[in-house]
Amino acid sequence: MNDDLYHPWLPNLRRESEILAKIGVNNVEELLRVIPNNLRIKGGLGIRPEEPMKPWEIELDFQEKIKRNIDLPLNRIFAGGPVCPHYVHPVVQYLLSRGEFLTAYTPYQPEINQGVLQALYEYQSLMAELLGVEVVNAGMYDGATSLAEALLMAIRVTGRKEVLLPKTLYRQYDSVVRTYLFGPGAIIHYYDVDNKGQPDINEISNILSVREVAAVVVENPSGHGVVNQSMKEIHDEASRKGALSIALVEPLLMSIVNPPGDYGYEVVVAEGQSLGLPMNGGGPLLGIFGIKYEQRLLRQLPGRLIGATLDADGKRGFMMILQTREQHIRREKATSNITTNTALNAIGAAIHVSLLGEKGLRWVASHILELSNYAAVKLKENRFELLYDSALFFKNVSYKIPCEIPLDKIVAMRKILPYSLLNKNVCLSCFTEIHSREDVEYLVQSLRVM
Amino acid sequence: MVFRQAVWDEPLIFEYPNGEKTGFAPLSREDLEEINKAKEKLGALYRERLNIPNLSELEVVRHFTRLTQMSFGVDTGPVPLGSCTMKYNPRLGWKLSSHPSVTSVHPEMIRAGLADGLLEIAYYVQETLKAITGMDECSLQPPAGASGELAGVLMIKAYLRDKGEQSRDEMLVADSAHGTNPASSAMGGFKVIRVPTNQEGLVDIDALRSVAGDRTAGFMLTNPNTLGLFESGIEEIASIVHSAGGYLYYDGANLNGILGIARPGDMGFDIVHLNLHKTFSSPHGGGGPGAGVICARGSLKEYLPGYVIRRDPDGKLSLHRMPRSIGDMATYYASFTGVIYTYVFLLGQGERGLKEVAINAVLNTNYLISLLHGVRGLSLPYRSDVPRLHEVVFSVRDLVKETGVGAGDIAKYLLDKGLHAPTIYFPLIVEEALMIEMTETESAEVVEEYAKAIKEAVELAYRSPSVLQSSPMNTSVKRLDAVRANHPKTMAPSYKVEKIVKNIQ
Repeated sequence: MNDDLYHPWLPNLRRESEILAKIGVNNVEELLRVIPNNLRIKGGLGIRPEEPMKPWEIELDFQEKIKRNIDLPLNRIFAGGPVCPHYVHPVVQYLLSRGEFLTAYTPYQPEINQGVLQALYEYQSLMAELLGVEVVNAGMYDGATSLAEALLMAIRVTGRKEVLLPKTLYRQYDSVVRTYLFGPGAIIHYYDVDNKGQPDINEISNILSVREVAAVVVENPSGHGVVNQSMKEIHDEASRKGALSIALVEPLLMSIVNPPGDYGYEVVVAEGQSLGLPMNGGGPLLGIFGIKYEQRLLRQLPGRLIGATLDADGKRGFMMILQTREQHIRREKATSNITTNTALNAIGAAIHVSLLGEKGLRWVASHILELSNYAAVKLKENRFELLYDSALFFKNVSYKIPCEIPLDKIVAMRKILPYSLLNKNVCLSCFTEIHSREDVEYLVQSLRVM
Repeated sequence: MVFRQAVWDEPLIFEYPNGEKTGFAPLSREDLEEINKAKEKLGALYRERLNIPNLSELEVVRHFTRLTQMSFGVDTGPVPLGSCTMKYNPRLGWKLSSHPSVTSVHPEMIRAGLADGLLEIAYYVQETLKAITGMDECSLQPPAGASGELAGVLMIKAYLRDKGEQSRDEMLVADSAHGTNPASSAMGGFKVIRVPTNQEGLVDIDALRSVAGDRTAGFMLTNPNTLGLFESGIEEIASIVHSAGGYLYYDGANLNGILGIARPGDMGFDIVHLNLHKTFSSPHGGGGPGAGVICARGSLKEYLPGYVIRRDPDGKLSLHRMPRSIGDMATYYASFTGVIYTYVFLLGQGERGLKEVAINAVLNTNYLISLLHGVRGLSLPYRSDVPRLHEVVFSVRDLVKETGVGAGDIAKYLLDKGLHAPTIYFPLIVEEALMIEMTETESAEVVEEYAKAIKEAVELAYRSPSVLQSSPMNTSVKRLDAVRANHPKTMAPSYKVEKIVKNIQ
């Protein structure tokens, strides 16, 4: 027995004999007898450490390891793609660290978790407003899985098994979509963009005419950073051909351009990391998933949904609704297997958007728009070739560089992470609220000296 | 225990008086000028109407602080939800996972060798989880357990395709399984075949034998099962599934009961998923984010999604794609928050502590069973003489018959005592189920308090059932109207719809 160990996370260690006696058994073995002897681990697993470490020893071990990370100031990170540096407000960080939110479970018992539920309802409502739809669920894993689930949903709603994606889609998203669509064995088609970076509507129209397409994915901005000028036309064309339109958007941009819901998009998905969440090395993130308020869509919606209702005294309260779509009730007929989602990050996004307000949101988006296009001009001035010469960029800017230098060398020389590579010699840099014009100039200068 | 939850008549953020305010950062004249320039640039695309409330920083802090006070987590009191493993989330895990050297890492830096410290921690976690599960390789990519399940199902599908065995289109799932198992199988394109539970509460091996055959792709199982019982026939089960040509999938949601005592790999499992937010102390965050891990052995490991971390001979760590990988389950490599909690948990327990985790979880379960033994109206379905491991499922079927008070009412009564309810009405094979998992981090006193509260509830049900049926009274709101919440005419899934519904009424 354990008469030689105290542990802060194991309050009953020293009471094992007493509890065993109360249970009415002589030893732990009598409780574990159901596990056949030959299946028991013998002689230990050989994992390190053998004995529990003290918290400061763990901190020292962590510091020893983590110092091998290269720390860069946030405004020296320009690597583009689905995840970019954004300001994480201390209010968001602090509120999310409060144990009542942090250590709660999914609010299956709504009466005792009204706070979590109201915060999630506010997240849903704020996102619905931003995206121009009526219904947004309580969160998916990330933008890529939101998109993949949207396509699976479109396949269920339309009964069709082919989908149409843009060639400019982030390669990480493409990979996740391919993995998810392997399940139903769906066929994927792609459409290209023209020399202005705009979707080729003729190609979309042709594919829609010859194939039975469940859904068209329309980006705004594109994976190459170009603001979409033909959201409406593509939706209308898809609609004529019986396909659903799925908009994949940068949520910040939606505060200054007409949102997809206004054009009739049935589904809107997004990565929510830009709404005040840390990069975290790429995870966890936040998948945003919204739909128009139509019964055929609502019935097929994946994920959790919070709704307003009344309590026994007629007072407003919140609870999870339409649970009969979910796996714990519907099992193999569920709309998705998703269970654990990203609730805390969704609450973080709600806090962030509440801090910003309408004014702040519009400013952040406007600043990003201004700075991205300032960067495009500066890049051109310095003879870097933009992927699309006269395009309007938002957040990500795509351009060519003469030769590729390993990122670690650039970091060592200039203390800057200048870009992500789209493919050989084609780069993606992103510009957010934390960057200034001086930062853009530093980036361009760094690219020149390389 | 006296419990009164905070009651704030807190308006929605949309209902705050909307002023000319912001809570984020000062906005200068130049900043406002940028908005005008953007408007000019966008022309007809510019959005005029945007109904987002404007609040000050303090108003936002106060609003959400009040909401936390109307919430309940492990930090507030016990949350013994069965199959959820709501253990204490060490604050050290929070501290280290919030470190700027973690949160400010751009994913591109991991691939470029600029975040080797983070990779080193992830490598330690990956290697340790291989040892704990008895698997050959693990990928940290799945963002949750269900994502790991879908990955596992797709790995089996891809392997069968490569072997030319596409005709294997059936996934076997125990009827006691978590709902994610059949849901993941269906998402993977498999037909779900239900394998019944026998009178012992274990997989009915004869029934399994009769459904396993040349259409079997695999069998998804958790061990211990959702009744808290160890599937002692697991080796025979593995042999039946393997001789039929299928693969055995381990749902790791219930690993806490055997951690450091037995390994799925030794039981014959081919693929294993783990939930870092259950067994390895990462928090649940009101529903997520969690973190999943997917591990495999033999040929199946070649199909793992995402990346495995390898150490080169010169000591350098790097990400490797498995040769026949099914692709990606998420945008990037891992949920690093969960990975760091796991790292803290593993170091903080050591091999010795890990085994004590399982033993103490089992002790708490069986202590609760002994405290509730013989309570009228409450029964322990399936073999009551066999010890449970990580969790226990009671039934109040008799209580409902005799008093009309059901599992849902007991749950609400417990809330009034400042105790979170157990998982109720699950697993589906138990009528009026109360599924309780205390975990190793609750003290014996809390187990006693919980047992006492359940006893009180049951006794009260016989005396005055209406008290239970009208609970809870001490929470921020009273019992909520689920019919209204779900009725198409009154449903309000957002503030936008809520306003429409109000206008109609």
